Amino acid sequence: MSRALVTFVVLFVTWLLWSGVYEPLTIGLGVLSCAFVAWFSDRIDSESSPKTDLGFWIRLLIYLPWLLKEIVIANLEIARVICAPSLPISPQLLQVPSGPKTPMGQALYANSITLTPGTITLDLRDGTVLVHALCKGSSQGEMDRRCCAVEGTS
Amino acid sequence: MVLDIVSWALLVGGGLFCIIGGVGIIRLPDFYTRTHGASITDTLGAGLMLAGLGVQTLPHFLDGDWLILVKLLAITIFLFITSPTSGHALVKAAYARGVRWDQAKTDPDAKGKE
Repeated sequence: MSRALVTFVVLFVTWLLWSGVYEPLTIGLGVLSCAFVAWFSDRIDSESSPKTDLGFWIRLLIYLPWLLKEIVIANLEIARVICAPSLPISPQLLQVPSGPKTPMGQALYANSITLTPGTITLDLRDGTVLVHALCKGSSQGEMDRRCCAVEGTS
Repeated sequence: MVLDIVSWALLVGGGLFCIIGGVGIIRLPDFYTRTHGASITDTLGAGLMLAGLGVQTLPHFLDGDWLILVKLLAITIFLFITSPTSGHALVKAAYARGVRWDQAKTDPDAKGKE
């Protein structure tokens, strides 16, 4: 029930932000459709959806600025490689052990790798990620550690 | 005026990174390496452009019209979730179908971070 309530609140805030029209008719329609979707989605996947608590989202907010910084650094690095006349690349596949164990943590880790230019996640199974890297010397260790920290113990 | 300069700098910078990403897609040798070029366009290219557009909305923000900024922020969030997802789907499909990754000419002396 509380999950449906959270869904409703998020949906309704989104509705209000998107429409920007605050009249009884549009707000009423918003309440109706958000309530319907919240009830509907609560019936669909009460089992399969990943469990997260509030702490996860707070730790995620702390993680994001660091990820953004890494993305900018990697962007500049790859841009430099692409623009260099000699095109100094050495593509390789790497088996990297994955720290995060929950589906949410693994998705965060794999997406972080892919989002960072120069590395892209091919596969994730048995506690390792298969990564394609454009250049040598990728530094996955800290990202792994930080994703574990976001994941927490829950 | 200052806002315009900042905004244009961000927009032009974003455009520059989009072009670099495009150059990467052409210059890089095989499928997997080309996805790295595309990810420059997806992250810093699109990100800087959205930031530039966000700066453009700031005068309206002070007038109480902050919905545009919220929507730009939402676009950014969606983009940063969907682009790695689609990129991963592409390379995973290629890998599953046996597209070779080790045919590209490599430079053993090349050193780079990530």
